[in-house]
Amino acid sequence: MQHSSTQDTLVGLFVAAGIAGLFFLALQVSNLNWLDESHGTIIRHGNDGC
Amino acid sequence: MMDFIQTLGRNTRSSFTKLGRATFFLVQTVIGIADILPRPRLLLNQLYSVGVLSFLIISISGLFVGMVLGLQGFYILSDFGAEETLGVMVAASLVRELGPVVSALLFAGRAGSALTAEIGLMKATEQLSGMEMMAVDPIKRIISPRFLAGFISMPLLAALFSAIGIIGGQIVGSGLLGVDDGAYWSQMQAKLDFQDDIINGVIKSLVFGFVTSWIALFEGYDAIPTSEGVSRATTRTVVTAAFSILGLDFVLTALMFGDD
Repeated sequence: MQHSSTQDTLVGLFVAAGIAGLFFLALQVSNLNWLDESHGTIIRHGNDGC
Repeated sequence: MMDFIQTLGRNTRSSFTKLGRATFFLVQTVIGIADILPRPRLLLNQLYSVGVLSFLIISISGLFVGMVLGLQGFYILSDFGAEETLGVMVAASLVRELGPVVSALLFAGRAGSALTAEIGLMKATEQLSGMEMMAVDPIKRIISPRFLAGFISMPLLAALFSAIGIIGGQIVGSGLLGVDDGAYWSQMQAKLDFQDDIINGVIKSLVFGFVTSWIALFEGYDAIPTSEGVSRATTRTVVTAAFSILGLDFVLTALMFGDD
């Protein structure tokens, strides 16, 4: 059994790598673009006074 | 003829009895998860054995699977002048199917067999009975942390497998075969959907992690406490988990992608 702090570090790195993998799939591979504001459109409702 | 019918009946009855024991075991295991929260060290140790130690085989396999997909995909797509869709082919294959399925099969072979052998040997050497003698519930102390670790590790490993595989496909496609790098990524981003592809892949890997951990732990807990019994249980774990993963993959694929 390895020293527990080394083990903790390795588990932390593993979880971080897994989450990074999920983010990579979400942002780089699929078209999830909710962080990209350039895709949003602002629609103004109501009377503009003209 | 009567012997055959009797054997069939006996086997059916024993199969249902085992399924009942397995279900009862699962319920106890899931209830035992609540007791892990005050002792996170139990979970961390198992995340190391089940997740970290499976990382190497998963990442290397993912890289080579992605590279082979890139190579084969390029040869097939170039016949139709559609090399630029290589990224879509590699990513869709990995994220939807190969990532969850192959990583689950590797997980069953690497971590599942180790779990069965460990629990089976604990039973054979009467460590589990010893814990019961000391009023320590072996399900809560031994089984539940391993089950939760398998359930958490599987989607992380599958995501890593897919991500590394996609990079492997890019290395071969763009680096070696001359597919445009921008086209590789942009076509992929245009065609793959977060909800339909990525989330469904994660759901699949969660289901596979649940089933594989359940089978591995139950087979170990239910093993005949001899060296031969443990070896048979380990073999059964890999075979049963492989069949379950492939069968469930068909069902889940039909449910998730059936309407497309």
